[in-house]
Amino acid sequence: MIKLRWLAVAVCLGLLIFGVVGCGGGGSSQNDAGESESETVIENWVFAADHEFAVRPDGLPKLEEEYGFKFDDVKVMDLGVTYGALKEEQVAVAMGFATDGRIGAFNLVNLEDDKKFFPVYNPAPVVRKEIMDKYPEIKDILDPIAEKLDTDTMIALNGKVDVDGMQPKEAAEEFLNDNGLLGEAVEASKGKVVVGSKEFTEQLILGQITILALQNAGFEVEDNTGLGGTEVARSALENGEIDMYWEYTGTGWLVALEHEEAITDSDEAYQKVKEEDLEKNNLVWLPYAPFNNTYTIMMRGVDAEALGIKSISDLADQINS
Amino acid sequence: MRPNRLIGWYVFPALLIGCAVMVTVYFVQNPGGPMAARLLSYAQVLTSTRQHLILVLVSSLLAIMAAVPLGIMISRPQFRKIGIVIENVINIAQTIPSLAILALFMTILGLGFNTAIFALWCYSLLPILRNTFAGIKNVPEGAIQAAKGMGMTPWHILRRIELPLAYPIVMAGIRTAVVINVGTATLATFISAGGLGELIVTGISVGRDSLIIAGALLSAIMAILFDHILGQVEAALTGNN
Amino acid sequence: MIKLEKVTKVYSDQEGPAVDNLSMEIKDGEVCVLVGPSGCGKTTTMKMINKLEEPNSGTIYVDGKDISTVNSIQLRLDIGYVIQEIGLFPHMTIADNVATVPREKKWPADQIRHRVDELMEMVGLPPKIYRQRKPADLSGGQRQRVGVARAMASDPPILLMDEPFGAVDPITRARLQNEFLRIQEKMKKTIVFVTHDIDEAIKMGDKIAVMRRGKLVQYSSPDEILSSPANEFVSKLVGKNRSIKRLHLIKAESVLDSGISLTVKSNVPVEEVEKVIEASYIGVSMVVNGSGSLLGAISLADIREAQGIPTAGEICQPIFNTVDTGATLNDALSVMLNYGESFVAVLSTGNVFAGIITLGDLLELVKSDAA
Repeated sequence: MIKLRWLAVAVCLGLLIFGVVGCGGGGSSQNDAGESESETVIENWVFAADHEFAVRPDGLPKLEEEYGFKFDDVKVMDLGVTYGALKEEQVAVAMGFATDGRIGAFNLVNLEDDKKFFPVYNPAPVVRKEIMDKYPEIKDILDPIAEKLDTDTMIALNGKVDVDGMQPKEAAEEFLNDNGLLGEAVEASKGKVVVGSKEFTEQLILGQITILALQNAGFEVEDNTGLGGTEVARSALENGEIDMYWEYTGTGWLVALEHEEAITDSDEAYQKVKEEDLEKNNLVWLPYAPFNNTYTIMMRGVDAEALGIKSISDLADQINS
Repeated sequence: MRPNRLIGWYVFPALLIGCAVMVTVYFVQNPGGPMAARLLSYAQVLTSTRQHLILVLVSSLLAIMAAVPLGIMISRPQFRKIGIVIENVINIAQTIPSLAILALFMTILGLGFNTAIFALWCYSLLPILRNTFAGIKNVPEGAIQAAKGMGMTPWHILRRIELPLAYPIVMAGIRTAVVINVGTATLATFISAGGLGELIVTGISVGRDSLIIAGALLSAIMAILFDHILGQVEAALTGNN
Repeated sequence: MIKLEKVTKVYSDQEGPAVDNLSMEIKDGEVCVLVGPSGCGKTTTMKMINKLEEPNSGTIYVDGKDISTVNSIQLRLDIGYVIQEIGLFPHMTIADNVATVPREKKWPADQIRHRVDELMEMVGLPPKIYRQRKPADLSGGQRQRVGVARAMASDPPILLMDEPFGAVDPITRARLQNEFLRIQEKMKKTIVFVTHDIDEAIKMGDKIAVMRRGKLVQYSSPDEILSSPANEFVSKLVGKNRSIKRLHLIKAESVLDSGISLTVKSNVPVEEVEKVIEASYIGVSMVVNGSGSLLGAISLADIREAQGIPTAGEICQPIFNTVDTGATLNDALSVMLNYGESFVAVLSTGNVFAGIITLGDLLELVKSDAA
């Protein structure tokens, strides 16, 4: 009986001690970031990064070196939850992907990569040359669409699907109609093309946009979207199982063409990948869209506005001041 | 008895901690490249270990505080039927993968330490609850009948007969829960709660084995240490040292 | 005194009442054995006396008080309880087990320790050796003794015993029964004893209550049960060899032959012993020392083998076919059969030779009974 009493006392004491230590130790850094935010004077520049970015030499260390600043603290977490961490004010700055729908939904803003640090990933329709030769008008159909796809638009489209639960097809239709990109519908009189895509939201939306636009222009379109990763979509295209899909310049350069060095300028990247892919693989890269699905550095919109931060350089100045 | 005690309480834990220190020193000295070296510093390993320790201790203690009384309650004759229902519900809940629990509570509770604690707590409940319930249920009917027939109050029957007899099984549940907890806590890094998982996950995402091995070894040592200490506590309290 | 008045107990999950309109009275200092086949309601009846079960109707009085008005904890603390399969607490030491009720009654520690030692002595478990042992370290018989000691710890006037000697071998069982009867002779508790073994009932009971399907079939002394069973059920329960069963009822001391004619002192010369043996009707001579303790026996063969040894004490052989004066004739019979001898030596306390009983004596008894 005495033993049991001791057990109870020990357990209570233990709980007390570790409760205090635990909450003190675990909770403090969050509070630091959280409290200071209320006056939009950020004292602790805490950065949310994923495990890879935090340690890769060409990741955070290089970013800080390039822009000449240093975050006060780095919180490491899964890439999918950095948006939430930023929204919940657990951090002041976070990394993410530039076109993620949550950026719009959570009122976050991308900071401009003014020193062109991150590799560029502009998407462009990649079409088999055979098809392009047969139907050169595809370029005229897709060019105006690509032109309209800037980062904010893509964020909004992704948000409609990921956050609001729309179907990719509905979002695509809405986008085309809102921008008046569908002319008079033409009877299905032209040949058949197969449209593919990788299997994530943005790709599915791009695929649907393409399908709708081509159908509208009188093509018979086979929907072969949602093909898994880059490897799958790319080999499907090279084998002629699909006729086109949207690929990112950075991915084309690094993955498909197997180059080691990333390119950080959009035009340069596009020109290089276009030339090489046509020459080697008979694939035509149509003009790219302005949005850039690369790593991004984000802040909460209110903070960025209050502090007048638009680019990563502004952020560096702010942190260094 | 004396030397046994000495070994159990001091020598073996000291050896384990020694191993952990050796692992740490080895990997800090041989991080296997600058990328891994960013995480394999004494300060970083210490922080991760401390975070991990706190995650496990706080969640386990809270789970014990909740599950043992609950287990006792549902083992009372008037609650036994409800008890079986509760047990089954938690049994089913337990089949949800721990990562899914983290994700689920993240949307409700937000990121970080508290969510991780809560998820780990949920995860430790069942083994402790189930064993408390089973332990008390398995107390020989004869002993309880005898105690009752001799005029023991229900409270005394619980305290002097049922709990001491159920104790080894309850303790086994706690040990299981804590050891599982040490493993599950490596997932906490996904929601920014730190811990040794930070080494492991980083190691996986940048392909640095030294990080993975260091994190895995340290958490394994921690699991063994916890299991051993709980075993010692158990032995000390039953007097079978 | 325990009195049951028209007591009925019905279990919802059972057909028919477990105990059906039962009325009986158990006098102070009496051993009342409830006997019957399993499911006859004997255990339920007993459990109603300490309120482990509540009757659906009827009243039970203990010491004149209606127990439904008494706090059940208080009631139980004053009723010793020995359970089937003992029900010792496996995690506690023997001393702690025995001390259960005194602790519940919050006796001072000194008094508890004293009482525990006393009880352990009484049931033949030296406290120095057994105090700190756990039940698992004990033999079945020893555990049963602890169970009895535990029930008597606070010296309750009433004991309820639910097959207390059920889980041991027959020889240990007989010994425990005898010891218990010896203790009871001194303590004079009021005892309700449940068993399914009619032999045990006949041996232990002052009164036997034969139960069947919740009803009392016969409630009378063992002798009466044997000599005039109330109906066919009772006579079947008692069995065909009723006369042999009566051997349970007769104590060794009441029929023994003092055997003076065949006893010699250890210091008598061998030649004299030879004469005694020749005259002895059991073919041997018993040898006792100055204070009357039995040393052994001498046969003619022993004398022939041991040439030149002068006195009886030096050539006598120890014998094992002995029983206590408190043993029943049935015990005496088992010992004879066990050792293949036609007699047993009966010993009173301190190994003092009290007399002998022969197989012939038992045959006489059984014959006269049958006649």
